[in-house]
Amino acid sequence: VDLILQLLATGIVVGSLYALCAVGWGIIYGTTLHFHVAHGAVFTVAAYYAYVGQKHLGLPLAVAVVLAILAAALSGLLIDRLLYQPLERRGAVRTTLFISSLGLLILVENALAIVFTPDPLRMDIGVLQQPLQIGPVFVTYLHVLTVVLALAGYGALVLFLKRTRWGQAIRAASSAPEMARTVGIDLGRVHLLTYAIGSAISAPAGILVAMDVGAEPYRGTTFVLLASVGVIMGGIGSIPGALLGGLFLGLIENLGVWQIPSEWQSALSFGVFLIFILVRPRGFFGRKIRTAEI
Amino acid sequence: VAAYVAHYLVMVGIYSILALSLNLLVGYSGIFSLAHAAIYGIGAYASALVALKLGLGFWGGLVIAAVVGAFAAALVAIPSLRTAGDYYVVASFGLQVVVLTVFMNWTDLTNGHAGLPGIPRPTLFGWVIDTPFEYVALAAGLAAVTYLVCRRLTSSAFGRVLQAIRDDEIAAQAIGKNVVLVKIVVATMSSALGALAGSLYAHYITYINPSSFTLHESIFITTLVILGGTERLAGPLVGAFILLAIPEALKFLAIPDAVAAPARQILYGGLLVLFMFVRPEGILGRARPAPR
Repeated sequence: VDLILQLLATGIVVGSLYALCAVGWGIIYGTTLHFHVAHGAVFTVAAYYAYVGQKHLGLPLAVAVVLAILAAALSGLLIDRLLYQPLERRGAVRTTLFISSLGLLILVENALAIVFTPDPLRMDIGVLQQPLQIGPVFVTYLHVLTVVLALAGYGALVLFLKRTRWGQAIRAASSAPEMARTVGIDLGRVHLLTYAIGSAISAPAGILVAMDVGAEPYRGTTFVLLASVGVIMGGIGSIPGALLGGLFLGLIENLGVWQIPSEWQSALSFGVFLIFILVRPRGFFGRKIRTAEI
Repeated sequence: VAAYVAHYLVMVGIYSILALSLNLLVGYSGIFSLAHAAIYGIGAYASALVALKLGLGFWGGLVIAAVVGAFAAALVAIPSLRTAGDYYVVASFGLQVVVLTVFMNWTDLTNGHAGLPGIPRPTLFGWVIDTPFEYVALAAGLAAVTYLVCRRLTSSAFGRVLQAIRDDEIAAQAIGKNVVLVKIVVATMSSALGALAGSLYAHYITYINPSSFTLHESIFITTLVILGGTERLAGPLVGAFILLAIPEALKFLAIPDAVAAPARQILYGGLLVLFMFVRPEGILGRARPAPR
């Protein structure tokens, strides 16, 4: 039983990371319908921003992390401004945007591998790496912080979407883009904002993983594709769905270890995904499948 | 030097088969797959295993490879293509992950990271194909067969339905085409053809391990297709000729190995982004009428 509780705790921590990544990716996908795999590059580069901030610029950890999140938000916004929007103005189809996104992801990951080596780079996280015992379960302060931040990030996003004018504009652009345009919402600017917010939500996940096990150049690809699995499971366009989808993935991956050797973890999540879309293609909370009309 | 050129040509043949088969999906059906290296690997492993464990020759292995490749693709295509196009991107990535995990961890069957050595050379009527030039002929022959199958397929009524689905899925459905079935069939055929390349590779190199069939390899095959041009059958062939020459050319620059591999990836990524701006239809492509 102790083992199951430990796996459950690890599952929740890993699931929180997937959830942050899925919520950030999901709001971008739900609003712009861009299959934004370069989100993985933003996720990865955020960790390196924090690393450079602490190790090369000598900033305190908290300051480095906050600046890294802001820089990641700006990076996401610039991807839309300098890559997708110009392509869309040239009449690019969705496949074209996807290919350019994939190209950018490969470009950034490998540039990071050359500049920072492919090996994990560790940051000094001080007291956060202290272990903490809750009943029979061992975690670190960093793991607790991860879960708290995931919930706080999700809560802040929901409040922003419900209570502010810009948040309402995003929801309008997501659920009825033509109608939103008709009532005078500038879709281009809403998309830029969505990219900044989605990136800012997912960047902490990239930084937290790096604080735990070091920054690595190729981690973003797996995370962004798992995020898309989480979003599809939760239902495209649903923010709570993305959160639950991410948590669910973290839990199956880790609870699976109880019965299955750990090297089969990633195969397990995708196996579950295939069965899932067979029985419930709309996800837990999906409105409808939106991407048939390309 | 002659042997070097022959090796280059064999690899062009192998990658032409991969790119032609992937183009059935990406170019002719508008379905994006990230699993083509996995399919390539399935072909290689299936063919190698029946040769090593059952003593079946190259030609038998080729057939088994195609069948297993088609089966693996159908397994993923049936759930994911019933829904929307983006689901296949995710599901095919899943297939790529699962297949690579199997190659690395099902050690009883695949021998894990160590790979499978000692795969026999192909024979034709009792004559062993083992010189580089004989192998060039074999690779060219199989690439030609793949080309003809693809041409037959895309110029048939079935091919026109495919292009109709790519251009306007709802309209194709409205005139009574079974869109889902057509997509599943083309995904399966694409994989059956792609698996042939794996079989050819396994019996040529005579040794395989998981590192030849990674996600990066999938992206490389995609790059061949996109750069060569997705609108024409010959596009992927042009892509294979040019992009396989680039690493060979880079060898003459003295770049350390640790930098060379990522530098090549940066080049591919950069080319993908650049082409989407200046020539999304690829080197050999026809410009499409402006989309809606």
